[in-house]
Amino acid sequence: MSKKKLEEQNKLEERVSELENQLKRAVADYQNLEKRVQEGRSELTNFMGAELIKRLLPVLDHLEKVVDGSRSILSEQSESKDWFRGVEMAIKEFKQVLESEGLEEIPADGEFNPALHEAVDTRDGQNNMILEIVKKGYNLNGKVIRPAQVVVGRKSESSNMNQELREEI
Amino acid sequence: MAKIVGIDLGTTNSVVAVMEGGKPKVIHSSEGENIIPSVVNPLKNVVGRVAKRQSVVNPKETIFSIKRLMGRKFKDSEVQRDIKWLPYEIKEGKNGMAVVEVEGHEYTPQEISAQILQKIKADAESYLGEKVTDAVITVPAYFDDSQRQATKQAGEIAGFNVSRIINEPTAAALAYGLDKTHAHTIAVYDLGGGTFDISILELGDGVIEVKSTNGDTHLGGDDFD
Repeated sequence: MSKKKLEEQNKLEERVSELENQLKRAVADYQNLEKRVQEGRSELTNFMGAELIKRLLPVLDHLEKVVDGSRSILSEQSESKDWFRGVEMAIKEFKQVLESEGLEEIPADGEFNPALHEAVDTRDGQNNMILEIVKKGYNLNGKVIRPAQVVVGRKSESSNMNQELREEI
Repeated sequence: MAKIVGIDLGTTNSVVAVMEGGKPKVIHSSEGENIIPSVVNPLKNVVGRVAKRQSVVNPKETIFSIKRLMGRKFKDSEVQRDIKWLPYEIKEGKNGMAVVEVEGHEYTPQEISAQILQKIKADAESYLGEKVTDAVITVPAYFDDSQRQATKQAGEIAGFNVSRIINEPTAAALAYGLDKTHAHTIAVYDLGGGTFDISILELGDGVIEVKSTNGDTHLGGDDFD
């Protein structure tokens, strides 16, 4: 075989192995993609549900605020009481529907936990304890979709100093 | 074949993506978001969104914008400028480099960035269902050798084999396939969370050259959103 032909054959062999590698990569890519599409389908359904529920949460917040705000005003006006109870029941029903989809309120009393709560402010108080809930947080099927926004207690500098002084005395 | 992930290790947020079927796909974090806040509390060992949620409670322990200190000397004018507004403590460490101190523990910017990269690695592995070792990390075009080296070290501490460090505007040009068209000059604007950069790139024959870069290192989405 002439030198030229040998070179040509080597080149072709190189090209074949290069194409073989590309094919292997493409097949592996395709298999991964197929697997992910299947996983993705159920993920997408969950995601769509979560997105819708996330958008409904501010509506629920507002409705709950309306009820809380109206309770004191309406307590003396008996005529409006039945109407008010109706609104309360409608909100309860709305919450039950969301709960049946896996929505759960995140408990926000006790110690602050950044995995569940978001600190929006601090105030003098028991260190790292939740003092106030600014916005309720929710889990959807065990996953946090909105952390509870809370105010967290922090030992003030002055109380720290007082403590140190007391210890020294 | 093991996948290579591409990482945008940002000042404010970080993103990780992988090539799937010839197209880049952003990998979501374990919290279900496309971005991971570049925030770390090294004492409590929390990173990303969870670290951000507790930043109000532990402002001196929560490290953010660590990219501003990467590979910089403590006496560097940029570091001296940042000391004035960053709530955590910045000190002079080994070889005059800037380090952060949290409750008596010293951390290099590489170590803090490595914690962000470790989370990125774990999230990518959980998405791909396999070990991820190789990564390409982007850096601003204006990063000097020391800053690039520091970024590479951060990747290595996190357990990555850093295949390449590439310029952010170059990555943007590649993502839009601009390298495949005719030779031309383009401007890439990058409005991030904390910085705003512009770069002029010359593209041609598969080569991308950064002709010039500038911007405002203290202007970004965080200032108006």
